[in-house]
Amino acid sequence: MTANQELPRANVSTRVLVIDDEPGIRDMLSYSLRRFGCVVSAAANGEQGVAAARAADFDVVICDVMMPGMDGFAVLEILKREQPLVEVIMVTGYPTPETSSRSAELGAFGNLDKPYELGAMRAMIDAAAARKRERSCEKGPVAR
Amino acid sequence: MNTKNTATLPLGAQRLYTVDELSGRIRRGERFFLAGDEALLRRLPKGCWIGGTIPYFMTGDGGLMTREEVFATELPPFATAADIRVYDAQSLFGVYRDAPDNGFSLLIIPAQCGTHLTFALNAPRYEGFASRPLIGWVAGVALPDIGRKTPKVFDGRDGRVLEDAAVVMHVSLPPGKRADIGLVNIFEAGDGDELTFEVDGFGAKEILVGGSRRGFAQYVREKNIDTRLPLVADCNGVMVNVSFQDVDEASGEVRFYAPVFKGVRYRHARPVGDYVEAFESKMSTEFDSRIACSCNCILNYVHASLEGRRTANITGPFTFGEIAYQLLNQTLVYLTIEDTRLADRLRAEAALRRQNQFLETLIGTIPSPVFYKDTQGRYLGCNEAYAELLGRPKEGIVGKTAHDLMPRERAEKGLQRDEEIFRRAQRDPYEYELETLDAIGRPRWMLVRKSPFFAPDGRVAGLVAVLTDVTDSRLAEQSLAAAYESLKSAQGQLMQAQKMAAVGRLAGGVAHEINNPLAVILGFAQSVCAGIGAEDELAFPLRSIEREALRCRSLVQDLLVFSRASAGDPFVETDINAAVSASLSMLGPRAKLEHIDLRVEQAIRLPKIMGSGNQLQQVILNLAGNAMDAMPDGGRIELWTRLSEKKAGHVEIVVRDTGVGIPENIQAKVFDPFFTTKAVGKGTGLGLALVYEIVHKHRGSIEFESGAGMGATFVVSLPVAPMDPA
Repeated sequence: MTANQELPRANVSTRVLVIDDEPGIRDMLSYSLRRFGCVVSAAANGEQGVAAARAADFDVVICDVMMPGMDGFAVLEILKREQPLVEVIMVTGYPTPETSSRSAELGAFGNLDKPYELGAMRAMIDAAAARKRERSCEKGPVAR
Repeated sequence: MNTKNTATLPLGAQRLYTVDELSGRIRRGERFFLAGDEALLRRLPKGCWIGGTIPYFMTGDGGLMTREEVFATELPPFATAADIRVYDAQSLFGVYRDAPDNGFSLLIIPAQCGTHLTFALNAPRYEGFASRPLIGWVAGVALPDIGRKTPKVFDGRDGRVLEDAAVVMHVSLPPGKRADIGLVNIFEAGDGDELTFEVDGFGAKEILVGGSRRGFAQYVREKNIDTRLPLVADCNGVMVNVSFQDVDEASGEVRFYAPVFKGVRYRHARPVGDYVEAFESKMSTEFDSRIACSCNCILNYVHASLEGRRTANITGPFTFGEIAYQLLNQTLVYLTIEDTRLADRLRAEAALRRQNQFLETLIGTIPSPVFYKDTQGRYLGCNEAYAELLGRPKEGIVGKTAHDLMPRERAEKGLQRDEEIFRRAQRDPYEYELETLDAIGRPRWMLVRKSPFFAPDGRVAGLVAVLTDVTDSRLAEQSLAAAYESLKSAQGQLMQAQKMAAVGRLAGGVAHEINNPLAVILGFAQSVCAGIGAEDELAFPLRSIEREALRCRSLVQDLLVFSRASAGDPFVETDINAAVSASLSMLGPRAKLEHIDLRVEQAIRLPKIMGSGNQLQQVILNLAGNAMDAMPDGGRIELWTRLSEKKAGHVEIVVRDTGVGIPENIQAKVFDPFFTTKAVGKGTGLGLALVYEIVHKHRGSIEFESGAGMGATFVVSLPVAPMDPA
């Protein structure tokens, strides 16, 4: 699968929060996802990420697993507890079987190992956003 | 030993003849030493003979007295000269001096004459006494004629009859013959008083008993001394007898047949039970076939009742005194003529026998097997150790050849070596090692040393072999070599494992650090690319960046898998068929794409192993992936699972392809990390290293069979999980 392959697009811009201690990743995803039409915010660690998520509405959170301080699983746990409808994609540069199973247990939408192909990332964001929209409709605004 | 026939005695040509018979032989020039009645001797013709009067004889038929026949001792035909001389009391002093250098002298002296007395008293003082063999006897008369007739001696050359002279025949022998004199004295000193005399003489009136002077006749009477038994003196280890002749009660004198000597210590002889028995026990059987001449004492004839009885094989006259160098009484004297060449040979043979016995003892004592054989390959002898090795008694080996004793092939091999040794004919040992089986079929290693031995003419006569059992050291060497090999292989495995572990640790450490920048590079490249057309001038460099980033990614992914394998997933009971099935979902699509016929065969109900399903999947994926890489133009992959036939308690995963194969020169390296034959970018060189690592983590083994153009078959063998005791 290559990056410029056409994928089905949502009508509304997807709001994405990138939580990663690697500035390069934050820069790359902000640049790339904006080019795909997403609205991107970025946080440099777990605490900032949780704060950002609380401060604004996001459809999809892309969260690194291994971060100094609060790690990705802690962030995932808080987000899924506080905002169950937000879909979280866990990303790691050190993939292990435990990473994916723990992510799934904690309610992550999916898992991607670095270095991922951009196309795969975009597809997963689209899928996560679509699911978010679906679940939001089911639950209605009350759930917010 | 009681041979009745005297004719069997080769040199004992002595027997009784009639006068006519003997006369004829004398006339023919035969030479004789004679004993017989005076009247008969007078009738004999002149010739080379000497004689003396006596009518008592020991013949082949026993002792007898006769006046009808003459007892003749024929000189051996090989005697080169017979010089007859007559001596009187004065000239007898030179009897030894006149004797030939090699030969013997026969002597007869009439009893009781002056010459007899002189010889009896003085012989030990003669010039050259006992330097040459001198044997003879004292002539006498029939016992009833004592005092009525006088003993006489005869010089056959002219028929002279002498009453007071010694007639002597000096006989020369050729080189190679040697005469010797022996005597048999059956008497030994008794336990009675020690008796000494104050003067030399044939008689004595007084005697010293334990130093005190006594009347001799009175002493004999008081002590009731049996005068049939002689007085015995020890003369330098030889028992010399002096026989009683009579006791004159009137004068008090006791007379003897031989003189007693002043100062010599005598004792009365111990009684003899059975004379013949005593005689035979004393007589050395070895000599009797070589006796040329002998005589015994008349007193033995009389007192021991030898009439009609034999004394061993000895024949000869019974005389009034016996001479062996000097005068003796009641003693058997004899002359032997020895063939010195025969003697030399006999001595040599005896020495050889002793030597052989010594060698046999020596060989028998050697714990190593030893044998010797002739040039025909016949065993001449061996020791017990060799007999034991062959599992046969020694008697079953000597005289046999190798062909009789061992399998044909082994016999041939040994005989070929023997031939070579006989051909080389070099004294230094020829050495080789032999692997053989012992008597009960165990393999033995023998160090064989063979040396030829030589006949007197210098030709090879046979060989001697000594075998040293080196089985123990060979076995030790073998197990040492095996231990060394396994140590070497263990060391190799350890080194490989250490290399893998180091790579794994390194990979785990850097993977995370590399993955982030790679994600950034890949992400930017792909996002920019997505926004421009293929014709854009940036498309080419961006695509290159993307491709190289993907290449880095796959390297890092391999390293991570490696790292995880090294770190070790927890091992659980795992079904290898499940791992195969899981792999198929990934292998199937690629096989289809590359026109590869993927055939899978899974044995049912395979026992489970202890391991990691993920890692096993990795093994299968790598092996099958390599197989596909080896078949760029398509082909077939067979993938199957089975119970191992070679290793009990193991299951196997087999991956076989029809690809290009692995050339022999790189087969040793295929499991090394980073070794690859693939084009740049196509392989990291970690695939098989990882397989190796995982298989070893599972305590299994991996083998392959391949060659250039032959395809390759990899067999992974894994131990089955131990049975759950519950």
